[in-house]
Amino acid sequence: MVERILAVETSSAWTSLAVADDGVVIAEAEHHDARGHVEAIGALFADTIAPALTGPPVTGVVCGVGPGPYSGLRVGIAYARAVALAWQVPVVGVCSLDAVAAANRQPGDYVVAADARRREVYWAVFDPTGARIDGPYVGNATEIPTGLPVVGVPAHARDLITFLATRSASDPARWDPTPIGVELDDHGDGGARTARALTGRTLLTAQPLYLRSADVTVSPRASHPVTAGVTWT
Amino acid sequence: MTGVVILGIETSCDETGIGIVVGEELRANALASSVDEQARFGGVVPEIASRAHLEAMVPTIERACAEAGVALTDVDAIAVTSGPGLVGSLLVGVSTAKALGAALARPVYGVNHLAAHVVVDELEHGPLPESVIGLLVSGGHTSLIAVGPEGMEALGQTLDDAAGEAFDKVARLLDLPFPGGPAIDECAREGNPEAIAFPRALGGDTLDFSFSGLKTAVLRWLTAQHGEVRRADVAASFQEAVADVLSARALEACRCTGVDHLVVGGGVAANSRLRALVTERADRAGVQVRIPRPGLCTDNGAMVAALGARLVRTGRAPSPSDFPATSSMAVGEIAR
Ligand SMILES: [Zn+2]
Repeated sequence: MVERILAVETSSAWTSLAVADDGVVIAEAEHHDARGHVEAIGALFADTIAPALTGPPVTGVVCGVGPGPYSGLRVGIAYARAVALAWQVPVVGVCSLDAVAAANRQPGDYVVAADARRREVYWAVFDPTGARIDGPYVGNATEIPTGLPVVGVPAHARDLITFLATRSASDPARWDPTPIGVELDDHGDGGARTARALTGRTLLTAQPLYLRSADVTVSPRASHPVTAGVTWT
Repeated sequence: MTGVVILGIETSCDETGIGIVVGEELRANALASSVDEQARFGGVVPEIASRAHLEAMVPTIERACAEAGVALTDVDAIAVTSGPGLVGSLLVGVSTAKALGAALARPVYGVNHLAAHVVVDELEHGPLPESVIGLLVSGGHTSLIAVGPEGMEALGQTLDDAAGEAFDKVARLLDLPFPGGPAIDECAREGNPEAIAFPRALGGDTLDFSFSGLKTAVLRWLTAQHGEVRRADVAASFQEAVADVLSARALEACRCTGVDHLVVGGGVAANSRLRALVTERADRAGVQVRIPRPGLCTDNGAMVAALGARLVRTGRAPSPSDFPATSSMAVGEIAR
């Protein structure tokens, strides 16, 4: 049976879809517009992916789970989860930095970095086999170890296919992902540098890698000062 | 399955709603809410809501299908709120709808949340006439709209706070819990609505609303108090002012458009004083008021499915594959 995989990547400004049969990409479509993930994903699928989906059924869905800007990330993950639900096939996540690393291997240790907005970067360190050995982190670019080459290209859906190929198709754990457990390591500076859960070539559940907490910019309600002198009856 | 099966997806604020309508019958209205997570902030934090939508989506779809006795492959068309609402939240629903449409090869309708609040009453009280006025009041919107056979039109809206927001803010001043609507309604039952003459705001013949002045008036009045204050009187007087303005404007909208059906929707439609006052004034004006039950008034998936069913029934073309999610969807559009 052909292993036919739909890959969805929206962790950068790119919206990227690909279909691969036994690891060979048979169709791919991309669009570059940071604000247009949800517009693009519908059109890319309708125009390029759907026509390629004749023949064998899709057997699994893989999506990039970031780190990356959350709204776009959620568009891709929501999409991947819903098509998998409709087709009744498994869905897994891949750390998008791992996917970039798999597609851009280097002779020595190297860093993969992506824009995290707020003048920060997401980054992780990889060994020459493409295995993540440190990170992912979010923080100031000055925190990246010096002396290592930095790969700064965005993730493409076909990189997720490349990553999957690093795991044997006969591996029974191939569609058995590890739940994401990010440790939010707040250094007292508003959660700016948060890190680190998973190293190695790990398949994840299809959940966003949130490296910042949801409420960093809001504070719990305080009681209102005007009523301080009032007794309610 | 007899009748067209429509799956509706609603994610415009902090409720993840999936509704399934078969023919003209509501079969499921599954809901997941992040309101408990929001309560400690006294309002909706968009990022918290967006995260919660993504986590709730698949389980809520599964729950709705089980409740309706419908498989996803039985669904004939998908409708989803395209706007207005919080963009980050809308994106989760719209992406899910497009994915289901793509995977099942079914049409997708991106619909206007406000129109859905009106059309949902067809599930409760049967077909609506061709033209109706909608008074939509919630934490996210305060709008008077006219829904006709050709489209919809905005007649009036809030210039500042939404009605539900005013309830939340005044509840906070009164040390009542979030969300403020039910808390104030409950507290006001023991109060005198004429105890304090709060302003009604915006004179003249406008159909717009403004609530920030009213909130400020409550704040000023409280600041001037010392010692014991009857909270129920403040709550009842504030609620009276809101209900007075909303019902007067709604009936004025009916009068000046010549439309004799009024649908009240949104979470604030559950307010007991608003319901009583609107009904009383409508009776006097010869206007028929339709208020869906509370579960259909607050944001839910059934309302989106109901509007989707109507669009399919009237032969509307589905939305293009690249339709967006927008915070301020033009109120003139019923669907993309
Ligand atoms: Zn609403």
